[in-house]
Amino acid sequence: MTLLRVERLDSRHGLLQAVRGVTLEVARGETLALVGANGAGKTTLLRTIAGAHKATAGRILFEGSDITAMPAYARLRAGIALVPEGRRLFPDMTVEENLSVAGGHGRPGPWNLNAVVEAFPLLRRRLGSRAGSLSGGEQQATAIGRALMANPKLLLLDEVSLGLAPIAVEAVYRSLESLIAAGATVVLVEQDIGRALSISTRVACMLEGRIILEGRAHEMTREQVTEAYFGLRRAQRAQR
Amino acid sequence: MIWVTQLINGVLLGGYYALLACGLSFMFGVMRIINLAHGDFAIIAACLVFLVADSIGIPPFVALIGVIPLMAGLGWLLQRGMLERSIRAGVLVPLLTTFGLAIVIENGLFEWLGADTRSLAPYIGDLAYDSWAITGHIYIGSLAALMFVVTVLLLVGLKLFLTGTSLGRAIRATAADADTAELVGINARSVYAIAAAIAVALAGLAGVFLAMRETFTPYSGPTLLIFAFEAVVIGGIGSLSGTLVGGIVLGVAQTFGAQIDPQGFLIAGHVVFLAVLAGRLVLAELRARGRFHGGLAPLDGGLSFAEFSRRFTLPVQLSSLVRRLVIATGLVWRRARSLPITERLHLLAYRVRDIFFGSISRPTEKGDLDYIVERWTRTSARSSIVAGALLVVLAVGPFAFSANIVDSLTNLFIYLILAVMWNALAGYAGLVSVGQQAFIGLGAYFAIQLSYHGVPVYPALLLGALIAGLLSLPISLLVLRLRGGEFAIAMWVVAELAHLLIILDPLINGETGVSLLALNAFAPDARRAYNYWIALATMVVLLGLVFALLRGRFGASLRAIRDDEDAAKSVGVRVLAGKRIIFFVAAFGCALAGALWLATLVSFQPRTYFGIQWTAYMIFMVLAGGLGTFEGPILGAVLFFLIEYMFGETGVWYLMGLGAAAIFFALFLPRGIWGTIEDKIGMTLLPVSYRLWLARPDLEPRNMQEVNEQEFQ
Repeated sequence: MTLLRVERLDSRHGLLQAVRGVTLEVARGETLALVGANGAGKTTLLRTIAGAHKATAGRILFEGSDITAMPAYARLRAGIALVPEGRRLFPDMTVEENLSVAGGHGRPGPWNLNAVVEAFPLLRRRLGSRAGSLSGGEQQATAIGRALMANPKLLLLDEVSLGLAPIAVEAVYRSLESLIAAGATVVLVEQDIGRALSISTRVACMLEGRIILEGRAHEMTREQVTEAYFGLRRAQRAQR
Repeated sequence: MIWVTQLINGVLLGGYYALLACGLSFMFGVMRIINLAHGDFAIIAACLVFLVADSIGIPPFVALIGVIPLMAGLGWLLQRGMLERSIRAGVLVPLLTTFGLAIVIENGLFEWLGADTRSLAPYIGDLAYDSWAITGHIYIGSLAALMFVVTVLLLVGLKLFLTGTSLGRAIRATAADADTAELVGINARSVYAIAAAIAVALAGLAGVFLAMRETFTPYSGPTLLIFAFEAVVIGGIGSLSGTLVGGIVLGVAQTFGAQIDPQGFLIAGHVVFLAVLAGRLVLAELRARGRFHGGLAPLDGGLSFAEFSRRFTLPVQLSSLVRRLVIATGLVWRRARSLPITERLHLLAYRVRDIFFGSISRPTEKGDLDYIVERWTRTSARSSIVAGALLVVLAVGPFAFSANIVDSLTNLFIYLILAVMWNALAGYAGLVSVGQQAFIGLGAYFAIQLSYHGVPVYPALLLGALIAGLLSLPISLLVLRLRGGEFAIAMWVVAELAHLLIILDPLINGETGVSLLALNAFAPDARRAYNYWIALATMVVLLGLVFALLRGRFGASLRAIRDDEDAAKSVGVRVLAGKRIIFFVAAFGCALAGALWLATLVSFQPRTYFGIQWTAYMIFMVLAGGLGTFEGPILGAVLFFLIEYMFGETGVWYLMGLGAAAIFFALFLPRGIWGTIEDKIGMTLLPVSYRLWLARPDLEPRNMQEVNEQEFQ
């Protein structure tokens, strides 16, 4: 059953068109990984779905209703939560305040302060600390926890492993896997193709604002994705 | 014993200042806006409570219950109607719009209520003068004590609200990062409106307290804003408890100053403010040196004047021209080697023409033009000829025109100087100053001093302006490190302080002023003609100077500073040095305008010369004409001149109209009349920047972009 449907979506930064006519669907319980080189439009696509960026054309349907014009804060209430690139915590507020500020504005549901601490035990002793003073891994856990506090139906994750130590990446992904196993619907951007293929049910590869390759994760090879990632096929066509 | 009493009074006064300041600080903390109409909102509340108490007889403390929510509503409207749009438009726009609003409010209140001095003291009974005796000699005013207690309770309450409630946390989250706040479900737009409502309600309460403890007029707002700002800066901007400390420091300084001299009240406050500012800058500098430079960096980190003049002198310009000719023609020749000789020569001719006339066309490997960079166009060449012809006509003015027209034109030239100077400062260096009247007044003042010391009168005008201009250099050490609104108000404080200090000079006779009697040695007609020619010559020279400065590399670096100071620094622009040069030029220009104004008016009344209305005029001229365009302020000055000619008689309405027009232009036509024309039809008459055209318009239609000269060297 379709949870999110994006139709012919365009999104721009001034003169630069970052997302060009993207159409995609995400079914309930599915995990979609977006891969692609820097500047391919992945982050802009996620931010446009979350409402942090305006769409210039196209539609976004969530649970069948059109949310293209809905502001970001209302989309959170409708059930879309984004963990933004670079975590973007409120640095002068405590971890607990960071979490509860989202909890107070989201939907009711199983996720609350206790549940988040349960899922990310490393946060237990840090609840009273300033978010700005945490380590990268702790900050990422807080950022994911903050999104979960809103009890989203759709979780958007933008490069959650960026800038983290390998051991912290492992910890974050272990938590994600258990989330996904529990039936969450996730769209994530990941630079590490191997990790993207292993965690997701479907993979979409973006190049210059378009989705140029899409399919079931287990039917795709690393080579196919790499080829699409760098736009190799297109370059070969152009040479011929 | 008297000092202990003064200390207590000062501390209590500080409580009141903290109340005045916390709204300003709060708004800055959440929205990064300094509301230049903050004091005027306080006066609105004072007027409302006064009207209710005076006409219906409702006691002020009861009236507060109705007025405070009303003020909150005004704050909400302010945010939704004006600031929301302003914030989106950039850092400078909120300053310009709130300044325009301040003018509208002040003159609106004046039109409505008249100039009477009012006070709420008669309506609060004994409280106005009651006091408790602590010991035999020390008394505490009960009203002052009440205000102190209320302020402390409010500050504590605000703190608890921000940390303990869900709305408070939402406000803090939005203040930290509005985009992300939206992503965690906070409606940032309504949080901003709520924050503005709180800030304006706090201002209103402070205004009512002011009205209880002393008198007020419709024009009291700006003084309140300055006090509030000083308290905020002394205490540390954005911190609520700091506001209390800052208010107390200011209050104590003022009461001690008043003990020494009646004028000392204000002077001591401003001096403490500037001293704290200086102390903070020195401290920051020492810290930075300790960490990063090992004590080797010069204090201002910038370019000295000697170094500057070495770089920008004619030989350097000439050698650079020759170098560019050699390199560029060689490049064209080599790159176009695959073409037939005639086409190569053709391209070469283009290149040479471009270098001399300032536009650059760049051939690609295939020989066709990839993009075209242009500066002078046929239109701009023609317009320069027209401007030259106009100048020739103007030069014979006194022989041809009637006395009235000559006088009016002299005024127009002075306005033009002011507009161009303010535009150089705000439009090209991003420095919005609301204190340029400091230099207008100082220029006139030094001219008078020199003349009374025996310097011939016309040289005295020029020298006086030069002294005032040079005075901008030490001032620049203090103010140029501040950004945005902080710089704006710090300049205002400088202007106020200059005004206060100058009326201490016995020569000036306080606010009564003095006349430049030496001018009477000239016959009226001769004086008129001299003034006219000097104003015209000054205008041409200053315009030429600014034009020359802006065209070169220096102009490009200034614009880089305006657009993004940190980015400019990172590509090697000497930010402070650049700002300082333009700050000096603008100060000197304004001082000259002030001296010329003195030459036409003869009399020097400090209040007129140091008045904030000059800033209102300058902002109007520049915004209406086009901020950051070279031609705009010229157009704006002419427009202002005509408006003043037609509506100047209507006084208050005229000023309100100017304020409203400034708001309108800042919000809806941010590039002004000229900027809009330039954007729409792509015409520049006196180009100071380059423009990039794609040579193949089929790719992207009329895609133009300003580029730095450096890119092409």
